[in-house]
Amino acid sequence: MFLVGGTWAERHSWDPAVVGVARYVWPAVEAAVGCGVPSSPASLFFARSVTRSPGRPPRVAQIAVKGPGGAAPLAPGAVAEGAHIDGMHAADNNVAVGTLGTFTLLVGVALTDAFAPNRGNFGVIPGSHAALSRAVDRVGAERAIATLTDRDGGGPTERLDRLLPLAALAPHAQVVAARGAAVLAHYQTVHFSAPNVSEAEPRVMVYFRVTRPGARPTVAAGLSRSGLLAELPGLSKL
Amino acid sequence: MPQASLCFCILEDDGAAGEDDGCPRRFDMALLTNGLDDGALVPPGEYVKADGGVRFSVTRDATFVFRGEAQAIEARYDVRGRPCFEIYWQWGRPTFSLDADGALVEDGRHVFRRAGEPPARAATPEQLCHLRDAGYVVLHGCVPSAAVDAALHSGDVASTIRKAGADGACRAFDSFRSFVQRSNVCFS
Repeated sequence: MFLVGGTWAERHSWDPAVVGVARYVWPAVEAAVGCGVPSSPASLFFARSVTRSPGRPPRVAQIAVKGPGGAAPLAPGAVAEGAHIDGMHAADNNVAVGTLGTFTLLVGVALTDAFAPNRGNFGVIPGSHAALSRAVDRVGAERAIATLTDRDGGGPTERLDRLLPLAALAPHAQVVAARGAAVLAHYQTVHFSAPNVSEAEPRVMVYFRVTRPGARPTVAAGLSRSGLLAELPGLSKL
Repeated sequence: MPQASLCFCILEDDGAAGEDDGCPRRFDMALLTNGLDDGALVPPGEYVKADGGVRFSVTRDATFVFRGEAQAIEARYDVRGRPCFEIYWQWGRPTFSLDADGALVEDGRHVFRRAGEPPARAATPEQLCHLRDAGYVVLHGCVPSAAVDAALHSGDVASTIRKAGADGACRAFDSFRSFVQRSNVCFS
């Protein structure tokens, strides 16, 4: 999904060695959702793609590999091809046409080094989560959701750009970090996989999509400015 | 409440067999499981009390070793539904629970961490502010190298690399080289 150049591949993994990296990130996740630090990840969180029941530890991870070569570097300030928010339908993901999925935090762990940009880095548009919520408030949630879930065949980047012109946002940032680094991102943060211009080094990431259990805001409410941090009281109280 | 019939099972051995063929496959994890759909990882190794005063080991064959004496681990769930196990030693029969950051906690009070492994770090207020304002934050050095290696050497990662068409690239991918060539994941 979301090909940018270089070959992208992903799969879900139940391998405990893969899923197990989550536990090192959990204290930070817990701090963000403002639930204190429970004794086990199992007590508060679950990975959406594993089970719909809260109270389970992550039992599945998404492995994402960006193969090397075949792409031009992404210039500073350029809009990244494939920029998106998760939960939008794409041709080769499991999100149903006409629906919009939401969760709380996207958590990524780098298994390989990315010491320079354009090495398949995880990329973001800083502040885009708030910009998206402002755009939703501006046009109204109903119309915003209709745009994001439009069945006209456009890709997620195209649909997102109709609601939130990506070129008008802050310049993109590519995460430059050694393996073992973790990234936490608001689910509404526009992100992408940077091209991998290296000659022979695949970039490997492991992702978890964390949903705060309990009563959740509606999709419309969650997308709005008032709902932006509704599931992240650890951030809203700062 | 989960059922109490639990056992330890070993997911992958990193002992002599792996060393014989030079293949660094090493999950280095034991799985505390009830055989159904629940479980928790317990990394084997030497654990050290926070003050450094007490050391014990959890081995890959699910035994607890303290001062040279080994005893089988009796795994179960505690009253809060967390995976745990009890042992007998000179201080009685405490319960050890696996904490969120991989530490073993004795009776909810004494924290034992794997030797040489730093505690997982919570995000700082500055990092949380960055997450709030920028929509993302990077936590450098969050996952220990051993855990990264264990994940990286999994068959799932290797097969995903192959799917990405990066087979040739694997050869230059040092941490993968031995593993993938011996696993016939990467073709030379």
